[in-house]
Amino acid sequence: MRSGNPLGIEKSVLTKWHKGLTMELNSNGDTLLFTGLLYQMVPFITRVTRFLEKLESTIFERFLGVYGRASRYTSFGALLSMNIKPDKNPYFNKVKNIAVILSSLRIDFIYREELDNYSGILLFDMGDDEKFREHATHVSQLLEKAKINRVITIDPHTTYALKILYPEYTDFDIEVVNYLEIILENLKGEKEANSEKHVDGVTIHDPCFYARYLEIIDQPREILKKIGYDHIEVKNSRRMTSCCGGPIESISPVFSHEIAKNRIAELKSSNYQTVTMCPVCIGNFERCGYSIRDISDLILKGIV
Amino acid sequence: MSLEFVLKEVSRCSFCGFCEHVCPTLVRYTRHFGPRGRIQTILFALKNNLATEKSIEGLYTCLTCNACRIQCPGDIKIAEVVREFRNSLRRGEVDIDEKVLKEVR
Repeated sequence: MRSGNPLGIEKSVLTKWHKGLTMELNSNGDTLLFTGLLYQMVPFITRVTRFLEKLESTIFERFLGVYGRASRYTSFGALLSMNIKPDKNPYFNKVKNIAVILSSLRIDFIYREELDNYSGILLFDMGDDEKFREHATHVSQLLEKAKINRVITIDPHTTYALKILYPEYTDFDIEVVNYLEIILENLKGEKEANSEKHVDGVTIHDPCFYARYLEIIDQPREILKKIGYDHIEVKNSRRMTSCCGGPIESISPVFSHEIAKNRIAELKSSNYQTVTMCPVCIGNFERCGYSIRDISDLILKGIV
Repeated sequence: MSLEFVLKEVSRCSFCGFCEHVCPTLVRYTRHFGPRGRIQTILFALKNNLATEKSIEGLYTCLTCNACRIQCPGDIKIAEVVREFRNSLRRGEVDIDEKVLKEVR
């Protein structure tokens, strides 16, 4: 991983999300907004997965036989994602939303491009402990050298990596908070801003890593309630949530699609707009033709 | 963690199958795409040094979503075991035919 991310995309393409942001981002302080670059990578992931999905189980797949399935993914990543320009990346807006929400709640944080890195979670998932340790050590040393005391993470996979895995695999000793936890904490002090009731309710799709690994289940529900949304639980929700299929999109996009189809049917049964808080889930559902909203869109509308 | 941890965990499985109905990958309707089958695959590979391409594919298509652990009466860390076993496979610690690994390498 010379580029530091699984698709071999140049890092500067992913860290420029803050271009065009109306607020100023601080660069001096000890609380860092650590995006983990996962949101920004979604359009690239979708493009590679769509391409490999077309090839899977066709005669052309044999020509790719020299590559294993996982490495095939990384090999095509850089090639296929070259023409997505940073200013055309729709997922930059979601990270921008989060930055605006945090700052409007008067939460102090800094952002420094050189400290914001991919967490290496795919290496861990695929069972490459040595490479994961190497990558995690590099990332955590950068943070420690910059005297960061606290990081704010914005997606479940990066939060899990930094909060649970980094202390286990490296000497990482920095407080990790998820943005949903910190938003809820700060919303409590706020008066119920813009608390006019929204007519439509929403359905929450709980990402597996929030629900079962990190127990971030009530926080998004409480936030939505505070900003005036009713939520409707579907058949498999909260701790019993069902996976979107995203984690295996690099191994078998077709299989991943089959799993997503089942979950989409469950979510559609509520007849309400689905909201989630994981870039992998959003990307995978979108690839499978189901549009889903990120919770940051709703929070932004609710409080700013 | 190591293969010792993996073997200790999978040996606790009584194959009750309570874990299966929540597994999203069991849509493929073959046992090695479900948690119980994955445990069987690991046991078979460790004890009899046998695996097939399909059974290994079953291990690599585990989403590690952890839905099965909630159902398991023995609280077996199935997703952790699968991930740890992938690590052992990559390190070459499991004595099985290399050919079955070519798709996932």
